[in-house]
Amino acid sequence: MHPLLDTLKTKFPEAVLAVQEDKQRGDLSVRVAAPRLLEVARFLHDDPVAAFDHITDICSADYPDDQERFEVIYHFLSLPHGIRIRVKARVTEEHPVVPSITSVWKGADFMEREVYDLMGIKFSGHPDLRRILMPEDYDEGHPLRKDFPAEGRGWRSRFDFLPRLDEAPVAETGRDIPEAEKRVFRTEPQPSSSSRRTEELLLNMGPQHPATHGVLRVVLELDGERITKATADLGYLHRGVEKLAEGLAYMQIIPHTDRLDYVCSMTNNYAYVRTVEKLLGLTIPERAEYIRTIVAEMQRIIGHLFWLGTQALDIGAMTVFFWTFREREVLLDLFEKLCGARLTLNYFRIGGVDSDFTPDLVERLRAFLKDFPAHIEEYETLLQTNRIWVARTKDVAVISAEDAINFGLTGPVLRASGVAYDVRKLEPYGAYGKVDWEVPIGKNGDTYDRYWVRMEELRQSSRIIAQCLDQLPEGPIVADAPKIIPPPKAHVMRDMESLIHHFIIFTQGFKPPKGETYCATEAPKGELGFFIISDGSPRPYRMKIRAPSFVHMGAFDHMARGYLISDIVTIFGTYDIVMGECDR
Amino acid sequence: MTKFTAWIKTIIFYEILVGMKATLSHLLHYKPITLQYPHEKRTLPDSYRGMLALLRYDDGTEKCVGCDLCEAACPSRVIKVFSAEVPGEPTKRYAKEYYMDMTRCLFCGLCVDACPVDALGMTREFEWAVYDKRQLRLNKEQLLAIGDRSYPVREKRLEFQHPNVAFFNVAFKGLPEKES
Ligand code: SF4
Ligand code: SF4
Repeated sequence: MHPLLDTLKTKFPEAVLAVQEDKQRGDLSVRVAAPRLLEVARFLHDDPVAAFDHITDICSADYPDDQERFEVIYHFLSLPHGIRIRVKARVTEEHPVVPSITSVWKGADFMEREVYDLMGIKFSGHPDLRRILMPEDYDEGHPLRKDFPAEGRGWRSRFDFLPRLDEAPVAETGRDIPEAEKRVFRTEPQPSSSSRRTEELLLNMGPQHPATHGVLRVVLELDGERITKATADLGYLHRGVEKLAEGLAYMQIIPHTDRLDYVCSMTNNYAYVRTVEKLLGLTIPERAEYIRTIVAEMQRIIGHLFWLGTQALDIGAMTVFFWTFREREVLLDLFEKLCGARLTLNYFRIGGVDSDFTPDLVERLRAFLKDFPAHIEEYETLLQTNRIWVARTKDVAVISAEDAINFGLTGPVLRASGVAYDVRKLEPYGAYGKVDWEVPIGKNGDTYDRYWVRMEELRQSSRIIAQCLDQLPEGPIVADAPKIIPPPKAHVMRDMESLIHHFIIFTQGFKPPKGETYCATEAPKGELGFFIISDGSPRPYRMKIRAPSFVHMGAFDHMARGYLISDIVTIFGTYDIVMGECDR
Repeated sequence: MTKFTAWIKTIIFYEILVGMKATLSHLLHYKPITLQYPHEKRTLPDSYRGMLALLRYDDGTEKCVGCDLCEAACPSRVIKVFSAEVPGEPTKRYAKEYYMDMTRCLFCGLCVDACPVDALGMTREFEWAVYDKRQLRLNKEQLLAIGDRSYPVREKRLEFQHPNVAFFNVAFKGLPEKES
């Protein structure tokens, strides 16, 4: 058994109920008694043998038939040791309370609120336990519970919490918002000794605001022009993808993952199919691995170009936006040629990819890569030393390395603070272990460094693609697993056996073994992880998406405090936030 | 000296001038990449995943055998098939009614992958904006009409099958050898 699990068992003989090591998938998991969770969490975070300093995710599962109905599942990552651990605690329906771990990991704040919102588990000691994705006055229950119907409930007018269209609107003009409602947006009042009366201003921004990159609302508490508290109000784009997935076969979920981070949808496909493959223990043909790596890096280029263009536009530099979109267009055309769509690509299949790279496509991609470094330099002439850009990004939205880890930040946001954490290096997948590339690391953890990290990543991505194109092996693009992967169309039309497999896979789907697994992928925004619990049926029992944008929004208040109101747009942009992924 | 050049660069707005030079050089080598849609249209690739259509064989019969696989494969329940026996031919089935609610479609192509007789196709049509979204619930005739105008070359129907088996298209050209 893993030494860490032994240590935990001897150290906490009562609190640790069971330990398990899944050798095949490389997962460690620990079951602890819910009331003593905090002790174990403290140990895992503080002790140098464990050093789980990075919080990955918190999610929950519902087992209505069990005596202890709910399970809260924590994922932690130890950056010094490079291992992950899953901690689980069970609670009953009558007393669904778990101690909050916000005192250990600050990033747990938003994650616990999400669990409370969607599953109805309370966290004792949480500073601000409110609904986060659903509306605050939503009284229909907690959607991820198994007794909440996955089917729609009919027409809009049948939801009684929504205003009905056939009724006269309720006159609600000029109402003063009661103080009690404003309280959540305010900081704790400081006792002041002076007789000067101060009053903070509450300013509402969004949800329909051009600079919030989607429908996001923030309430800013302002002291003059300084932000004293920034409360993000999420959930305007909540579609319940996780609930939806519980009613779909594994294969049918892929097009739904396209709609998470719609700027680079293939990365979501990639993260999802990798998790399912890990669950199944499926190996992928070489050529498919290379193609996956190539398209994932193309998506990273698109994602970063999109970020650069919009961030510069938000700050006031118009030209960069046109130039980055010009290059993005070239890549989108390639995707269109490859799989027939430009944005919602649905290109990955479980066990491989949908269509093959043609020589023509390889040529066009090479031609793009030849010009691309010159284009990156072109963007840099406009921005790198430009005094407006520097003044508006340097020392804005600074976060220290410890804080960034404690909040669970990932991706370029974390690396700009000087932490060399990249899933592609830590747990190499695809062809990343076979090509030569570097992880750019920033120093100051401000927006300028994040810009620099992303620019370097553009260069590294094109390096990776160029090497993959050179090494691209011949061979099949889907794995040979007739029980899981539908046979080729030509076989289906010819022989009965393939036809039967085809029918069974499309009508019933395949059945992965019972089990659960978490798998992380480096998306352009950060670590995109999927956690799937399978009960042996053709549909996932529970699917949790660890969306980097959502986790990053948890650090928003921390990073926005003390800056001027004109910086708020930069602070949004610095995360490269996409609300489709944040709200899911 | 470096301090002095830095100071000079600051007061003459050097980096702004360099940026302006980059921008203005594009004015000289002016190459528009924007298309004046709808007056100009892009050429879409063959694999484009646009509007769905039902296809026919070259003799005008519908390919669809009413097997319901597309309905089962669709992740957002777009398709509704009512299958029935072909009148007078009890071994063959067809889709008596076939509906697609295109307001829900994700254009993922899973239904096309699922169809065992290639009766569904994705066309290059995308200009399907309508005023009333109920118009997007298409029936079999409308879907066949889309197929007729988008796929002028139809697949050949071969009738050398045993009359007692369900009708599948075995006329697929260039079958790959199946590995044993
Ligand atoms: S393209 Fe996808 S969503 Fe649309 S009908 Fe086919 S399977 Fe359903
Ligand atoms: S899968 Fe093909 S043959 Fe079967 S019902 Fe659908 S369109 Fe018809």
